Amino acid sequence: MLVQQMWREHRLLVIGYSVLLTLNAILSVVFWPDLRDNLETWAGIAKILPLKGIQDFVHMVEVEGWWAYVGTQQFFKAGGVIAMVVAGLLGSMMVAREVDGRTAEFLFSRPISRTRLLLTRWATCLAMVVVPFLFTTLVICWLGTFEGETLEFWMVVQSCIHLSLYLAAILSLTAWFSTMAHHQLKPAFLVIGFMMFNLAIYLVKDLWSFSAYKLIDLDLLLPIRYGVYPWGQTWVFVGCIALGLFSANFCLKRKDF
Amino acid sequence: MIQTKGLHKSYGKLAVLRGVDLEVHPGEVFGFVGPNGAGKTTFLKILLGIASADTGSVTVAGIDSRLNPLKVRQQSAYAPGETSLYESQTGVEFLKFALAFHASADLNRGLELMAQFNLPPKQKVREYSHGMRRKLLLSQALACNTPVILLDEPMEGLDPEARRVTSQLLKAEAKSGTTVFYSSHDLAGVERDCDRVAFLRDGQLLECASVVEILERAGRALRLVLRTDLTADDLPDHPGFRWEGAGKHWTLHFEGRLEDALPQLSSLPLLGLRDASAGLDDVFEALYKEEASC
Repeated sequence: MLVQQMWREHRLLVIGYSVLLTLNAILSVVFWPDLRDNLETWAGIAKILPLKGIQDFVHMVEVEGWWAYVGTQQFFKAGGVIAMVVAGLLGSMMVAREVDGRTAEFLFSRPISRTRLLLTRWATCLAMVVVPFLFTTLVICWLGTFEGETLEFWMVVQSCIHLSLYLAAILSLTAWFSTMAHHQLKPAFLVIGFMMFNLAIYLVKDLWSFSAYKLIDLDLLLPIRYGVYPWGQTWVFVGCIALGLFSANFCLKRKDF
Repeated sequence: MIQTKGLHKSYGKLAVLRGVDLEVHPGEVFGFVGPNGAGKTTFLKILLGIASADTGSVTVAGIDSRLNPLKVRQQSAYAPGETSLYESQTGVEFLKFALAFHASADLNRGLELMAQFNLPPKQKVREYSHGMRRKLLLSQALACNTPVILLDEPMEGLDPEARRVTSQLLKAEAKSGTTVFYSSHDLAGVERDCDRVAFLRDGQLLECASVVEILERAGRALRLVLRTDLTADDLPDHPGFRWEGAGKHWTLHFEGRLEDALPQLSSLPLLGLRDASAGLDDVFEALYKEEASC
């Protein structure tokens, strides 16, 4: 019933997000032959630009080809930015929406434990964020075959796991802030704002190594092809998930409605 | 069925409840009365375990609400005073959602109650009026089939017919052994429906007794309309008489029997006379005026 209720509340957001990811996947594949065939021209343009991220992107595509392109378009852009925003929004609304909408008193008077309620909502939100992302990853891989590009299955699966953990971490930390907020979008502004700031840093030559986006950087995803999984960053995500969920549960259990 | 001892609750420096001791018996309709901000809703929330008390003990249906709030909520149905609901749901979807958490709930009973309150089941909740939302909340609470029903301002926003129906339903629930505890500003409703009543002010219990006992204790009163203006000195002075008013409009408060008081009024130029013996609203007024002057 809780899952059904959440779907009813968020379906427009999730459908819109899925459509956006699908469009991104389709357009990425459509644009790929042009990039592949004119890589030298793009490399020349990138050298003029003062943005390190763009220069690295073109260099990576020169070296790794289609895998670097998918890594940027799907894992970094779609997963790291678009899905992150949706994870932030859903996490933000997880508890604060009830307080903001004045339905908290009703919901928490039902005979359901707060821990169960939190975990059910967290799992539902995670599914709402991750399932469209995984689906569009399959779409981009499948569409790539029409351009003669293929990717190794386990490489894609491991990258998906890494990005899913990143999204789960964003969701968990926002959920924690949501348990302390009275306005449903304030935690989202906080977390998404922080991540956007980090994205801005990521594009600047001397600052990019300080960005949180280094956790899902191409430098980490591309070596997965050679069997090097970014365990260090995985543990950071797992730690954030544990911290977010534990703190959210702690705050929720002590909160008066 | 409900018992609290020395219940204290503060929000920061603001003390909302200050040592509330209360006992509600099984199968009674209990009214909880107090002005806005007296602590009624906070008290209900503490009973359910959705707010925590600073000190004191709370048991509902024999379960310690502070130690096991989940079990208390399994034994209690609740209709909050706040009528904000999930706007995207229809009436029947809301009912199903509300009842899904209660193992003992009866959906058919809920649907019957919705019909009894003339609620359109397929209409979106966002299109429901304030009174309709209140009826929907009442329907779900009464369909939970729990031994305790807690209601926060159940009569607020209801039309007279809906009040009458609600009143009948609450009495029927109590008759079947359910304990009904409700907070209210509708003193006439409390007087009509409740077996016992408690008055709360600034987080403290002022009075807790049966409605009959309180009314008997409150004494009798007559409202007089006179043909000419009189002063207090012109009115008959008799032991146990207390006059209030001015000019042509006076209220006589007295103790004892009506037939003993009436002959004393024969000398007055009476234009109208009606029995204005204290109702709960008078008790409320007197009680709170008295407290305010302390």
